[in-house]
Amino acid sequence: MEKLNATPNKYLPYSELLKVSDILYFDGPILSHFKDLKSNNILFLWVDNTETLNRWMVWKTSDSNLYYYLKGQKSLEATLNDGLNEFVYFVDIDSKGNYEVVWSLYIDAIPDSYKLETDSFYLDRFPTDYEYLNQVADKDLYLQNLRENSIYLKLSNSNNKFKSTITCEDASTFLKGISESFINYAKYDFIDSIKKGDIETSDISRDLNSLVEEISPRIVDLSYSSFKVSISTDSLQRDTNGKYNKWKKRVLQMYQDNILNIDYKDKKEVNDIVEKFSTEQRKKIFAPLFRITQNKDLSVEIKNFKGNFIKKLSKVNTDTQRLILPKSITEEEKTKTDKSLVSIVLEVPKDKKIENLTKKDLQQSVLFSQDQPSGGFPLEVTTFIYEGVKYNIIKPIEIKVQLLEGEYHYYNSTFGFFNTVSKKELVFPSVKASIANAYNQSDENSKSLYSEYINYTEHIIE
Amino acid sequence: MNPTFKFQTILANLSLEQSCPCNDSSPREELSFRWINNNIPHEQNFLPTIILDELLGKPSRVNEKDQKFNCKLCGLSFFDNEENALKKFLSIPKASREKMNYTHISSGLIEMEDGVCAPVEKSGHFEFYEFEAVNIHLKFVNLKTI
Repeated sequence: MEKLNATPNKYLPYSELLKVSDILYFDGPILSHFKDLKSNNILFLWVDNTETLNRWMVWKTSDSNLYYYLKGQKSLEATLNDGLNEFVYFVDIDSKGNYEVVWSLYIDAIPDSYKLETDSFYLDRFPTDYEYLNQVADKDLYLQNLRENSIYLKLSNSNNKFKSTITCEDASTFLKGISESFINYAKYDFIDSIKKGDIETSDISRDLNSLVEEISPRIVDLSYSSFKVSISTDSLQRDTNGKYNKWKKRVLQMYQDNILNIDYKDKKEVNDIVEKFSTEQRKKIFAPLFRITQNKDLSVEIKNFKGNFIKKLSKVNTDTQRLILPKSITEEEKTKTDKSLVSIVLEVPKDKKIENLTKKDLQQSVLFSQDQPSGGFPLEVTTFIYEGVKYNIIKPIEIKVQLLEGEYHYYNSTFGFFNTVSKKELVFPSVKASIANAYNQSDENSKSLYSEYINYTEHIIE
Repeated sequence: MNPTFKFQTILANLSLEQSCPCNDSSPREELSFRWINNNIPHEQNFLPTIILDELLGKPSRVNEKDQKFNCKLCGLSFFDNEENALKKFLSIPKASREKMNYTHISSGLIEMEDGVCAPVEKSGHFEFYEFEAVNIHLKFVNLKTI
């Protein structure tokens, strides 16, 4: 039997061990699972014997390790080398079950002849006695999946005074900033995906609000080194509508590719940003990010789940910041975002034209008002111009209009069009242009307005 | 009169609190598979571990003080099919597996008059307790090397 380089002892550090099962058994146990008084899982693996004693290698493992081992997804070696065990124990037991000697060894001091191979997998079917572990593992699997699709961000302090520590405020500002930037990017990408026809919605505002909660970045891993945090979005649970799962799965990666991984020193990449996003969108996505990088005492590294370094998030120079976040426009946009649409119903004399209404009329004539309803305000269109001919629509086309994130969105799901304009004056002309465009077009996702409305349109010759 | 077990004396000496073999064991016909060591006489591969270990001068492989467990030492481990026998064998970490010295999977038909079998566990493993006048090893041939 192998000579162990350790001090002999009499007891294991686990009390009142009770056998749960022999996981591997043939004419006697080979691998046994015990629980101690604290319900820890303790494994006994037969490794050797003398003429009078059997030697067992003994270690503690978690419920999830045990579950994945019995599922055949983790090796026995991985249940031992999981970072939680500093020591492994060897117990020499006689044929009556008495402990003769107990040895404790650092894991890396295990003799070669007792070492577990990395492919020491359990090959049999999952034992039914262990179904109680499913629940534990489901939680673990959820977290594991989120981690695998997460972004690891490591914050370090470059100010030596406090060594590698960072302040709670810096950590908090960082998390708030990255979360705000990501959510605003996700909102942009959601609307952009609708425009491109990648996803469909009958109510942008409602769906976007419910999605924001679902995709809000969650902390899925933390460690001190100086401050390492992993953020992910929940793309595992079916969303409220059940139709945005694909989008949810890709949006964090898109954020990383399109925002975090940008080389802000590269003029072309910066210009692409300016072209791609409106000033309002840029303000919402990039301002929180630049706030983080401005802190000269902090440096941020981005890594993936496997620990591979991706990039360092450096301070963005002032000129680039001004280009992406022009001050004057930002102020103008700020007032824009505070607006929302309401409808009011006025009681006015029959012969009074709307354009002649005074401020006083408005104040005195309001019968009732309504905030923007879910799905947007219905807008009925009764005329449009197609190839220079004005058409009167007997059966009005209903368009939904919403003011969202400072922009006006209008859409009609029947004819499959969705558009966004930045100014209110552009809403009506753009709606009419979209209708004219849809008049003679059809694809697999939309009906032809012409075929649907052939009986409801008439030429108006002016 | 019920047939006596081959190792009745040993069972009696164990002074077990529970009945051995367990009450749900019964004689039955079962095509069975067992790991064996081809480097020792064939019949020794079919000796209960409590006897074989003594013969080979090594301790029985136990890791707790349990009365029920002592009963199992008087039985023989079998699997209900070749696949289960192989899967379990290959699930043992290599270092331990090599020290066990098994070389083959053998197979044979256990019949009603040979002894009693404990119920087959979900893994396909079951215990067999041989009757006195039986030589179960004669029914088993080597199937494949492991």
